[in-house]
Amino acid sequence: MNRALFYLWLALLRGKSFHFVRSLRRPTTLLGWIAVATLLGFFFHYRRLEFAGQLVRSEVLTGGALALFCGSLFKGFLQRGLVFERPDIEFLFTSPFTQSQIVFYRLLPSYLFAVGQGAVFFALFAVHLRHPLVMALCLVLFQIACFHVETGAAIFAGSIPEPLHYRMRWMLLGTYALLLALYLHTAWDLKLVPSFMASPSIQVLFYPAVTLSELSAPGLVPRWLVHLPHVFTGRSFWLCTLQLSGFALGAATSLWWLLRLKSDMFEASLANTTRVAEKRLRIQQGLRVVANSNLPKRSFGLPRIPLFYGVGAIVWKNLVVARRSKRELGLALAFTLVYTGFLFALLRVYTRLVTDGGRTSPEDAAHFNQGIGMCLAALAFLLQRTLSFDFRRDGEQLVGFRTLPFTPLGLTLAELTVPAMLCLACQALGILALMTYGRLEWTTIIVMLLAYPAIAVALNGVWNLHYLRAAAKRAGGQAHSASAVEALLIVALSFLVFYPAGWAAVAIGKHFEPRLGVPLGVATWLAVQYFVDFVLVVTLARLFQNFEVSRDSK
Amino acid sequence: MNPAQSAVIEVENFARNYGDFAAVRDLSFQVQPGQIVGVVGANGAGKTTTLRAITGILRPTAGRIRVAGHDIEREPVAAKKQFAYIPDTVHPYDLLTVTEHLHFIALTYRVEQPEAKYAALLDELELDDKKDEIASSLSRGMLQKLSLACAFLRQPRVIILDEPLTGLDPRGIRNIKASIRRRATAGTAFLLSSHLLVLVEALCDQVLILHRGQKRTFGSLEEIRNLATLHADASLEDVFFAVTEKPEESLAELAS
Repeated sequence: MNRALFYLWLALLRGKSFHFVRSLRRPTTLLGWIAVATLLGFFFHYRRLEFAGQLVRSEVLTGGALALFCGSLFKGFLQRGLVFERPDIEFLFTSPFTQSQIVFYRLLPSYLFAVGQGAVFFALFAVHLRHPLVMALCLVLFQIACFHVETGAAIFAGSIPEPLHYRMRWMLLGTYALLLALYLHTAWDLKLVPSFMASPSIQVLFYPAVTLSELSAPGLVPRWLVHLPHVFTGRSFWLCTLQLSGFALGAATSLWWLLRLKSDMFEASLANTTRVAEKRLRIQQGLRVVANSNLPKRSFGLPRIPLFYGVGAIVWKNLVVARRSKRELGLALAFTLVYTGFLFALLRVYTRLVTDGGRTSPEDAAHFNQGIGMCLAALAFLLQRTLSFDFRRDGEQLVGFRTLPFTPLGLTLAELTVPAMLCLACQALGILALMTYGRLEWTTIIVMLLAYPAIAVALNGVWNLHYLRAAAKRAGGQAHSASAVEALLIVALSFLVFYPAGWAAVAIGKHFEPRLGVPLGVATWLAVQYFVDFVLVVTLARLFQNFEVSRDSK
Repeated sequence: MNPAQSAVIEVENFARNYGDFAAVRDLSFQVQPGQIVGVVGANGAGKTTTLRAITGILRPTAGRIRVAGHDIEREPVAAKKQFAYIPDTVHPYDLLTVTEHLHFIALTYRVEQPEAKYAALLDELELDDKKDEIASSLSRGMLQKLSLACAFLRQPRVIILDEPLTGLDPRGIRNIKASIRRRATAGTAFLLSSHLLVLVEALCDQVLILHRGQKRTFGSLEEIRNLATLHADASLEDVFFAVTEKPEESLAELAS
C-alpha cells in the first residue's frame, strides 16, 4: 500500500466522519439516523427470539452467501469499470501510482464496511451460534472476497467489447437462474428444475469430486453447498478454525488475482465515474435521469389542432414527453390494472352474493359502491409519482419558462393538464367496471365524473406545489433535494387538501333531512373542492412567478 | 413616433439587489433596431443579472425596463413576445428531438408556416443531420445552435444572448457570427454578453462596460476610445482595462 494513498484515505475518512457528525445537526438527517439506530436496537433487543435463530439456519446462510457472491459478481460485471470520486480521476489517475495501488486504495472503504457488517452480525446473532466470533470473521472474509470478485468483474467487463459483454450478461443470468433453482430445490424443497438435474448422470460431470460409488445418491452436489455452514455450528473448534483459514485463503487469493489482473481499468473507470457523477448531480437537483434506450428514432409532426397553439404548446410538449416515457406509462397502466382488477373482483363477488340471495339492503349496496368509488378516487394519489408530466419534469427549464409569453396562471393550468387527464384515463377503467357491475344510479355517476377531476387537480397541485417550493429553495442554494420529512408532509397535505370540502359537506348535510342533506352535501363538497383547487392553482402560479433566484447570482 | 425606429430595449435607472448586496446600480442604456450591443465586464460585474432582468427572469429592485415599448413588469406577455433569450447554459427538454423543439417554439409563438423554415435554419446552423436526435444527447455546442435555431425561427425584434459562442467549434463560431450580422442588417437587435473581448470587438456596434454593478461607459468603440483618451488603433482589451481601472471619481464623467 502506497503511503500517500493511505494518508489520503485516512484524511478523507476523517473529513467524512466530521461531515457526518456535523450533518446530524440537521433535524431531517438526525431523524433518519435515529430511525436506523432504533431498528437495529429493536433487533438487538429481540435477538434471543426464535425468529432471529431462524435467520442463521444453514439454509438461510447458504442462500445469503449465494446471493452475496452472485450479486457481487453480477453488479461488478454490469458496472463495466470502477466508479471513483471525481477528484480521484483528476489526482490519482494522472499521478505515478500503479493500477494495483489504486485498486487497493479503492478497496479500503469496502474492507471497513465488511468489518462493520461482521460486528453487527456478531452482536445480533451471537446467541444462536456455537462459535460466533469465528462465524463473524468468516463473514467478514467472505464479504471481502466478494468485494474482490466485484472489483475484478468490473475491471474485466470494462475491457471487453460491448457485444461480448451483452452475451455474457445473459449467460450469467442463466447460470444464476439455474443456481437459484438448485438452491430452492435442495434447501427448501421447491422443485423448479426437472428431477434429472439431480440424477446420477448429471453428477458424473463432477467426477472425480464425486466418486463412482457416490453416484447412486442423487442430489449429492447441491447438498454439499447447503450443509457447508453446519461445520460452524456442529463441529469442533479446530475444524472451524480450519474453515476460517479457508475463507482467509479465499480472500487472499482473490486479492492476489485482482491485483495481478492485466486489464486496463482507467478508460472504463473514467467513463463510468463521469456517468455516475452526472446521474448523482441530476438526482441531487431533483431532475430525472434519461435512459439512452428511450432515444427516439423520429420526430413527431407539427400538430394542426388549434388547442396546441399558444399556451397549449406546453400541453403538446408534455404529451410528447409522456408518449416517450414508456416505462412510466407502463408502470402506471400495470398498477391501474392490478388496482382496478382488485376492485373489480370485490364488486363481482358482492354482486354474485346479492344475486345468490345474500341479505343486503339498497343502502348497504349504495354504501358498498360508494366505498369502491372512493377507492378508485385514491388511484389518483397512488399514480402521482409515476405520472409527473408537469413542473416536476421541467425542473431545468423553470428559469427559461419565465421568458415564455404566457401568464403564470395559464402556464400552470397547461402544466397540470396532462397528468390530470392521464389520471382520469386510468380511473375511467374503474368507472366502466362500476357502471357494468355496480348498478349505479346516474346521479352517482355524474357526481363521480365531477368529483374525480377535482381530486386529480388537487393532488397534482399539491405535488407540484411541493416541487416548486423545493426548486425555489434549491435555486436559492438553501436545499438540494427533498428530505424524508418533506415527503411525509406532502403525503399528509395530499389528504388535508380534501378536509375543507369534507368538513363543509358534513356541516351542511347534517342540518337537513337525508333526502335533501345528501345532495346538498355533495354539491357543497364539489363547490368547496373546486374552490380549493382554484386557490391551489393560483398559489402555484404565484410561486412560479416568484421563482426567480438564479443559481449563479448566489 | 414610428415604433420600428424607437429603441427595442430601454433600461432606465435599473438596480437589482440580492439582500444587502447591490448587484447592479443605476444602469441606463438603450438598444436600437439592427444594433449589436455587447455587454462586457469582469465576473460579478452584473452582466447576467442585467440580461435576466431584461428578460423578466429577475425583477428589478428599482428602475424600469421596456422591450419594444412594453414594460417587462407591467406587460410581461407582450414584452416576451418581442425577444428571444439564449442563456449561457442551454437546458433542452430531455425527451424532445431537435425538430420537436422547433415545433414547440412554432406553437408557442404561433409562427406561420414554420415547417417551410426548418430546412434552411437547420442547414444554416449545421443541425440537419441531428434533426431527429433527442436534444439531451447533443453536445454543448450543438445545444447552443439548437437554442439559436429556436430564436431565429420566430424572428423576434431583439435577441438576447448570454455567452453565445460557448462550446462552439471554429466553423460554428464563424457561421453564427455571420448569421448574427445578417439578421442585424435585416433589423433584428442583438444584446450579447461575453468575456471574449475579441468577439465583442469584431461583432458589436456598441459596447456597454459594466464594473462592479455600475455602467462605466456605453457607446461605439471609437467613442469609448476617445473617452478613455486612447490612441485610434487601441483594441477593446486596451479600452476595457483603461476604463475599468480608472478611479471611482471619473466614473460619473465617463458614464455621462
